[in-house]
Amino acid sequence: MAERILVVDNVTKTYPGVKALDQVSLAFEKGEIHALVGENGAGKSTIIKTIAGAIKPDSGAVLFERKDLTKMKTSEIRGCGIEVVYQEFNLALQLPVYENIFIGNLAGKGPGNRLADKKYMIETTKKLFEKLGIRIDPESRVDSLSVAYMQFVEIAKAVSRNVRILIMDEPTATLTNAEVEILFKTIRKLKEEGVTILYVSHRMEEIFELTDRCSVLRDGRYIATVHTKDTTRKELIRYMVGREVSETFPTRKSRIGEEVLRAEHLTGNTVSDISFTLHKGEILGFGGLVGAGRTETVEMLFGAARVESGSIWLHGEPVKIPNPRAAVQKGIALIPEDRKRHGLILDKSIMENATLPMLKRFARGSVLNRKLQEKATREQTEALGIKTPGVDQLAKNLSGGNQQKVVLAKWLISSSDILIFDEPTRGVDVGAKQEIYQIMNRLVESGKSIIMISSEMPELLGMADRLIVMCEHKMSGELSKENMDQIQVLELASGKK
Amino acid sequence: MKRILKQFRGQTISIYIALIAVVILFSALSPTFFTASNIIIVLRQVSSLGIMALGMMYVMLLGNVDLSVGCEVSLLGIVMSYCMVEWGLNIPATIFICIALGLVLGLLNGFVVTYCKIPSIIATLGTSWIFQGISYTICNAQPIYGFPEGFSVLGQGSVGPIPIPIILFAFCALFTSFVLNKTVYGRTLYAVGSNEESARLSGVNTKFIQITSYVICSCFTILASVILLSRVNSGQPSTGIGQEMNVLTSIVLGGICFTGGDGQVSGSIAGVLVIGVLQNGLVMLGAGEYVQLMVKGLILLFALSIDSVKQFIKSRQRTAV
Ligand SMILES: Nc1ncnc2c1ncn2[C@@H]1O[C@H](COP(=O)(O)OP(=O)(O)OP(=O)(O)O)[C@@H](O)[C@H]1O
Ligand SMILES: [Mg+2]
Repeated sequence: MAERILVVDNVTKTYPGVKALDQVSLAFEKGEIHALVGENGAGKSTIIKTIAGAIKPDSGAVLFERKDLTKMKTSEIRGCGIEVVYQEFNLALQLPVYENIFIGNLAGKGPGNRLADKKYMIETTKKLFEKLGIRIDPESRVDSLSVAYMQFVEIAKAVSRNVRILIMDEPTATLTNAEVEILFKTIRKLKEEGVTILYVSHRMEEIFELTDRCSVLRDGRYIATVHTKDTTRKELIRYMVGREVSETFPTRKSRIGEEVLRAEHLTGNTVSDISFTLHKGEILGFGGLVGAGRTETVEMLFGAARVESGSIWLHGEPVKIPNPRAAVQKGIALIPEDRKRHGLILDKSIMENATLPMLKRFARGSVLNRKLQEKATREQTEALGIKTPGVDQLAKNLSGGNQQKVVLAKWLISSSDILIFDEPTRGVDVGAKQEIYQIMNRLVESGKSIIMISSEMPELLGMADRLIVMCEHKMSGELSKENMDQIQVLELASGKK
Repeated sequence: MKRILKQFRGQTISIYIALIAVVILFSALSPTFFTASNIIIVLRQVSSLGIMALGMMYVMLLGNVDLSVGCEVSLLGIVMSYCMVEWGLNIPATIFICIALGLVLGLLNGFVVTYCKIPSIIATLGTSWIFQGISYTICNAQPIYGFPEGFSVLGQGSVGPIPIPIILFAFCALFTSFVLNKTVYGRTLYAVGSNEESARLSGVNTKFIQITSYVICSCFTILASVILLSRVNSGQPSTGIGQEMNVLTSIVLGGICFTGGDGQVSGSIAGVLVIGVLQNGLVMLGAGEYVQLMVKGLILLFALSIDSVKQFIKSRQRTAV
C-alpha cells in the first residue's frame, strides 16, 4: 500500500443547527488524485477548509506526516506545501496578477528582504504561465480578466509554490472544455511529480476521467471510499444520494404556442447581430463556449445592459427595456450565473433573498406579512431540497450549491412569464439537477417560456426544444430539435462552420 | 505616454482636472495667486494636513478609517505645551514624550479596531472623544503659551527659501510612496485591503498589518502635531478639532477607495492640494470661512460624482473588455 500522506481523523464540526461534519475519517495517499463527492451541503468544502486551517474543527485531528495541522497557523500549514483553490474566488481584485500569485508570500530583496522584488515576481509568473500554457499578462489587474482567467490565476497561485498537496474545490465550473484540458494536463503532471490532489466536482465525467479514488460524503458523514475504475456512475450516485436517481432527462408534455419574445439584430454589450424568437411553452437553449457572449446577450433582454441597435418584441409589440425593474414588470426574470455578485444578498436570510423581487405580494397595505413570506419560502426550499436548519439562515452560511438553489427559489416565487436561466445547474449536485429539470418542465407545461444558457452539452441537448449557438460574441447558428447533436453544436460553438 | 496612462488606469483622473481647474480659476481671478511666494504659502499651509492624510492612507487602504487624528493632534499639542511650560522640560525631552504618547494612542486605536472588533468608524469616534476630553482636562480649556526659544523653528523656519514643513511633507510623501509601492509590507497592505480573506488564507498576519497601520498613521499625526504646535506657538485644545474631516475629504478626493485596496499617493497629494488651493484662493478673494465650507462640500460631491458618472456610463455600455 502506498504511503498515507494526509489523514483526516475523526473530525467533527458543528454550526448552529447544522452538523457540517460528523466524525469523518479519510486517508489520502501520496501521488494520488482523490475525488471528494457528495450532495450540496454534504460537507466537502468544510473538510477542505479544515485541512487548510481556515476553520478549526470541534474535535478530531488532521495529520500530515504525523503533524497535526489543526494545531498550526495557516501560514505554517502553507509552509508544509498544502495549497487550496477555493470554491469561491479568493483574489485581490484591484491588484496585478503577479501580486496575487505571490500573495502572502511576496518575493523580497534588499536589506532583510523588506523590498518587494517586482521584476523577479513578474518573471516567475511569466514562466509559470508559459509552463501551464496560458496567456495572461502578469501585470494586468485581476478585475480586468475574464472569469475563466481569474480561475487560472487562482490555480497558478496554488501550484506556484512547492506544492505537495493540492486541493481544488470545483475548479472547472467556469472553464471551457479546452481550458479544462489544460487544467487536467497540469494536474496529471503534478501527480507524476508525487503531488497528492484532492478534487471536488459535481461533474461525473471529470471524476471518471481524472481520479484514482473517490470518497463519498452525505449529510456530513463519511459513506465510502472506492477505486474509481472499479465503480460505476450509478453506484457513486447511489452512495451520494442514498437512493436511486435516474439520470435521463424527464419528458414533458408542453404545447408550443405563439411567439412571446423576439430579438432582431440585437447589438450592444460586446455582442452583435443576435436574432431569435421564443415561443410560449418552449425551452430555448443557448449553447457555446464560456465567454461566447451568451450572458451578455441576455443581459440586454433583461435591461441590465444597453441595447445599441436592433429591437426587442414582446407578444408582437416592440418594447424598450431600459432597466431590470422594467424587465421584471414586463414578466421577465433572469437567474444570473454569478450568484455571489448578482444573485444573492449574502448577509440576508434565505427568506429575505427569496421574496425580495415580489415583496408586494406578501404585504397587506405596505406591512409585510411574515407568515406568507415564510410559507412561500418554505415551499420552495423543500421543492429544491435546500439544506438548511431554517429559512432564517443567512445566505452566506449555505454551501455553494445551496446558494445557487436560493437564487432559483427567488425567481420561482416571483412567477414571471419569461425565465432566463444562466447556467442553472452550475455547482448543483446530481439529485438537485433532476429537480431543476423537472421544475423547468413544469414551468413550460404551465405556459411559461424559458431561455436556458448552459455549457453542459447533455443538458442542452436533453432539455432544449431549439438551440441557438454562439461563438465569439456572434450568433453562429440555430438548430431545431431534429438536427441537434453534439458534433453540430461543437462545430458551431468553435466557429468551424 | 502609454506608461503614464497605464498608471492612471483604474484611478480617478478627475482630481487632477479639479486641481488644474481651481488653479486656473484663482489665477484668473487674482493676480497675486500664481506667484512663487503664494505657492510657497499654500504648500506650507497644507503641509500638516498633507502629512496627516498620508498617514491616514495606510489605514484607509485597509478599508478602515481613523477619525481620531484631529483630536490626537490636539492632545499631543496640549501635552507638549504642558511639558514645556508647566514642567519646564527641554525640547528634545518634550518631543520624546510626544512620540511615546503618540505611539501608545496609535496602538490603542489599532487594538480597539483589531481585537475588540469594533467597526473602525465607531471605534475611532470613541477614542477621539476620549482624546478630546483628556486635552480639555489637562489645560482646563485654557491655551498654554510661553514655549522655550527655538521651538518655533520647526514650523516657521526654512532651509533656503523653502519652509521646513514643506520639506517634511515632501519627505513623508516620498517615504509613503516608497513603502506602499516598493516594500513587501506595503504590497501586503494593499492585498489585505483588497481581499482580507484571501490574504488571511494565504498566511498573512492580517491583525499585525491592521495594528501597524494605525501605529504608522499615528506616527504621521505626531509629526503633524509638532509642526502645528510650533507654527501656532501656543497649545490650544481646539487645534485639531475637525481636522480629520479635512483629511478624509482630501484623500477621498484623491481617489482612495473607501473599501480599501485601491489608491495612490499622488492622488492623495492632489486632493490635499485642492483643499489648500481652495482655502488660500477663497481667502484672497475675500470669501469668509463659511463660504469656504460650502465650496469644499460642493467640490467633494462634484469630484466624486464625475467618477460615478464615468463608471455608470461604462457599466451601461461595457464595450471594452
Ligand atoms: N459559516 C457557516 N455557518 C453555518 N452553517 C454553515 C457554515 N458553513 C457551512 N455551513 C453548513 O455546513 C454544511 C456543509 O457545507 P459545505 O460548504 O461543506 O458543503 P459542500 O459539500 O461543499 O456543498 P456544495 O457542493 O454545495 O459546495 C452545509 O449545510 C452548510 O449550510
Ligand atoms: Mg462546497
